[in-house]
Amino acid sequence: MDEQEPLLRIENLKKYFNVKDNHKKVILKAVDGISMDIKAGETVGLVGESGCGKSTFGRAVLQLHSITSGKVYFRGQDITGWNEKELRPLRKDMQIIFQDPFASLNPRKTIFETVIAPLDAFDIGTKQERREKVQKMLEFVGLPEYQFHKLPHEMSGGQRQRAVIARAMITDPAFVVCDEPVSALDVSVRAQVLNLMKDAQKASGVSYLFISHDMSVIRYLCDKVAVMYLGRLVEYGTKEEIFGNPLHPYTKALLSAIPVPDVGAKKHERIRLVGDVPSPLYPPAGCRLHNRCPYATEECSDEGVAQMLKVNEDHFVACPFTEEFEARKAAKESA
Amino acid sequence: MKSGREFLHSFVRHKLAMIGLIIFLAEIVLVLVLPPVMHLDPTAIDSTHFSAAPGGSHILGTDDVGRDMFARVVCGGRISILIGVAATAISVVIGLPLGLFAGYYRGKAETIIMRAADIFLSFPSMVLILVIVAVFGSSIPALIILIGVLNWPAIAKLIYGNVLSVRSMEYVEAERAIGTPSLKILFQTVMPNSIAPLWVSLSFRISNAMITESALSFLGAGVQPPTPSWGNIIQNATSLVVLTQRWWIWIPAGLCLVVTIFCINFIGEGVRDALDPKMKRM
Repeated sequence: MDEQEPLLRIENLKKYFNVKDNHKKVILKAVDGISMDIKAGETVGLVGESGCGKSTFGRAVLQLHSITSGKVYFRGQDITGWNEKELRPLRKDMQIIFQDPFASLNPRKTIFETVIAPLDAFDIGTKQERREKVQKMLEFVGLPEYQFHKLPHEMSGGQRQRAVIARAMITDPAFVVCDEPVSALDVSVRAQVLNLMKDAQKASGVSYLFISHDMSVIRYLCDKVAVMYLGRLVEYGTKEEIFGNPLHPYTKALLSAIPVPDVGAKKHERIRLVGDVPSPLYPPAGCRLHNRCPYATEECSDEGVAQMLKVNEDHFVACPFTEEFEARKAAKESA
Repeated sequence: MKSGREFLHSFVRHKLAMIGLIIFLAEIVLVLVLPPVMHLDPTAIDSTHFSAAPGGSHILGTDDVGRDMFARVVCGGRISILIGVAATAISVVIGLPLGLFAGYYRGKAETIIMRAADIFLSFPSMVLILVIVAVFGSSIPALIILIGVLNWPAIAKLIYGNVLSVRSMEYVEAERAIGTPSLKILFQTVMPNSIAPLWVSLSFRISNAMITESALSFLGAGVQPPTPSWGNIIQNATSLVVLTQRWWIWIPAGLCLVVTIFCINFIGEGVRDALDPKMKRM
């Protein structure tokens, strides 16, 4: 299975923005060197706090943002820096589901018009076939026929998100970026939409890059998990590894913040980070977490500590000191 | 997308807009048809009636040189409506595409277009028109072009602001994600979602053009007497005697101007509401 060609290979992807801070030109390193492979049929979860560059990464992978450096290979083909026209034939295989179901549907188009648009754009099938396909897809996502010709403002958030999913899935894409697709939805609708996405995956074998800040959603849906902090990955591995044996202090902090729905459960240790996320304009040197990490020492501000290290086949972490945490904790307590 | 029929349905149900449209169309028909049918001559002088009150052979009286006020108001309407509508059309033809491109493509186009708009806005347009008229002379086509060209920044800025907010909506990005060419996104997705305020602003622009024309007429640089326009007829009211004792000289033209502006305003609102997808569909 290791020899399987990944559907998508991302190498050292960087996306910098030129911004102005107090009339001074500053470079915002929104995504600062991320590599990952995504195999066919697999779901990779990308977690991190708001503003850490998750969405930028998702859009950069799809070439919706021009990227600063790095490479993106889709089915072995280097698609980095392709222009709109060159990308067009690939677009039907790479889609995106947005976070906000209110902003992602054109208020002037009915649901049917929105969902048929990609088929028209790629000129798939005859007119009759397109209509039938849209009809099937809308029924699959749970929108009954009487809602086909409604405008977005006439529908609820959950219904709109179903339409957005239908639009992304109508061309049978191989890869879909899901940018927090359920965070704008109510908890009761959330599970329905997640199950719908699971069903769609089962039916078509699509791969997801699932962006979220919600660990429980990631745990439910994903095969692999990538944890992101200030533009970089801090830990990457299979779901079992990340949830069963988290190594990076940031991952530990995220996981220990999930509430356990059991009153009698043993109180687990909370790993608390100090302070707030620093401004992404001026990230700390070395390991970007070192000013908040309970185990940090001076070495942590050296460039080079933040390299991804292999723990085992299924687990990578960007911290060389994971085995010294207990000793460091003891040293800090005695000091 | 709302079809043409749905648009008509919702427009027809907008009562004020329908009243406005009927009156405005009636005005246009009247100013076009009455002069040839009734042989109205706005410059003919009746030397037996100077400043005569309404009644008898002059329904709206005469002015101080004995010209029939009814003929002057009707023929003045031709000129005023023509200037208002045509000048605004020119502003839209220039301002709409510039605003769309500046907002959608950003970068250099944005800087150049919006700075040019600022320069136009900060320049006292009245002075500019006066200078140009002084050098090249005044004519109605020249006035239309001048007023139209000088008003484009207002339209461009309005559209630009809306395009900026619409282009960052996720449904525009979704269009990019299905590979729709960028010009097609601009005209089929961004433009329909950002021109709604234009319909209301059109009425202001038309009335503004009419008012500019009357101000210019007052300064002697607008429509040249004896050719009448509502603007230069109203300017007669600057004479105290006319203002206080000869109401028939200025009130009819003033009323026409106000009613026309109201009607255009209502039509603008009606079009905007009829195009709004959130208004109840039939």
